[in-house]
Amino acid sequence: MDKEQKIIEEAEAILESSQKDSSPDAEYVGTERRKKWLKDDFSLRTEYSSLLKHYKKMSKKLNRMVKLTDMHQNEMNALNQELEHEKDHFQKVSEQISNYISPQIYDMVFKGEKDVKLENSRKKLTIFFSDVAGFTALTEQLDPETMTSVLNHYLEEMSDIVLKHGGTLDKFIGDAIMVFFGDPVSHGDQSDAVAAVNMALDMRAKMNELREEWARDGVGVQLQIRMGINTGFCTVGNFGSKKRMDYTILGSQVNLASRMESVANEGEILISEDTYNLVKSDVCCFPKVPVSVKGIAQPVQTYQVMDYYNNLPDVTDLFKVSSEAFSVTANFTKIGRNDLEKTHLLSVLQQMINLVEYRK
Amino acid sequence: MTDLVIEGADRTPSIQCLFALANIKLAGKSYPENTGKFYAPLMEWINQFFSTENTLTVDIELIYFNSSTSKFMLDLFESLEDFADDDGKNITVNWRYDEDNETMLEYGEEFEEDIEHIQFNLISL
Repeated sequence: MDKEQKIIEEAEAILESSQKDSSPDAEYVGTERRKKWLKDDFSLRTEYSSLLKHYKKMSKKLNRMVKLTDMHQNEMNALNQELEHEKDHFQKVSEQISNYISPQIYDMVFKGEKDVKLENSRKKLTIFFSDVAGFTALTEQLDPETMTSVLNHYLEEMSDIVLKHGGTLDKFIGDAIMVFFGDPVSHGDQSDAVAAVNMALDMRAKMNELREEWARDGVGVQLQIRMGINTGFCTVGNFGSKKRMDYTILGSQVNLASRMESVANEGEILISEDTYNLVKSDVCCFPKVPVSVKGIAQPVQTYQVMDYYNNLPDVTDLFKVSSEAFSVTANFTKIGRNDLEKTHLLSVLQQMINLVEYRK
Repeated sequence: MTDLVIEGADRTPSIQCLFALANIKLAGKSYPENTGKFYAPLMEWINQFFSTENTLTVDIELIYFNSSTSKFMLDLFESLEDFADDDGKNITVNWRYDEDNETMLEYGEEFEEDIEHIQFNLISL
């Protein structure tokens, strides 16, 4: 028996005994004093009885409320458990989805940073394309398992480099990789372009390591990457249908980046004039032969990315540029402070400039 | 006497008190920011209704409610019980619940426990 019930029973007992005690007393029967006493007693008992009734109701309600609160608590616990379960499930699914899309796009969608709808905008981006020269030949030489392993290993390593430099991994097309910088997050045109070139340099270095690794594993084919980079205004956003859309980029500048990659030599990073102007103070580049691009009337000037200035210890000693049409080599250790050689070199260069200008 | 109609919202149920039909309908979710304030017009309407009328049907179809609403429900049923017990009013409460919502059935059963003077029906939908 709980405390409330005990109080109620005691109160009821008091009420009952007071009714018994108020039985007629010979001494007072018929007297005015007796009548008043009975009236007061009756009034008191009625009030007491009403109070008791209310107390009983309140006590009952309180007990019911406690029970209902427990039920609410149980309901909330069950809902919480369900939510936890749903959260785990959502986390697992989103982790799996994250393998299919670029982390920036993943954050954009899953952190609700942008609405997933068919819309796009114009932005200045730096676009990167790469392709593995000789990969098609390799697919015919290797068994499918080895080929898959080599390709996945390559793409895994390259993806890590893309992420390290903050690029938005647009897509893999076989062994080709398309990346852009400047969306959804941009650090400024110059920083975006420098990040793209840094990424390309890291990729080229990694490819050298991978070649050695594969050679040790018996895959002796000498794979090289061709890379092309361009900077320009593109249309970026969701393209496709409401049910299946791609967050990607479109435009002539994208085509130009792709064209840069296709004309690059094996192991070469070829960049456009617009990218060159943004990165020339950070990396050493040499001009290359202009290339003709579909949709652009004049041939497009291209530059070959050599390396970071700091990584070119002999650039101050040995200057070497060559193409199909010309070759320039200068040994600065021999030129040094020798004014005669310096004058001679400047004279030769001036002659070349005059000839080039004259031939125009 | 005028009808009382309150549109349902995210946190509050729809309320329809129709004088001509002698019927009250309460449906939806109930976790108002201020439960007492939200349900005050309903209690007021019931008091006015019984000043002239003797029969009332209350249809309750909640899908979720909080502890404050539980407290209000207890007050509502107590008030209806008093009208039936003290004034002889003829009152029916239909506690409607989705057949898949076992929790709502349990709540209905719990409320039914204290009912003595009004007709309390548990109706599976």
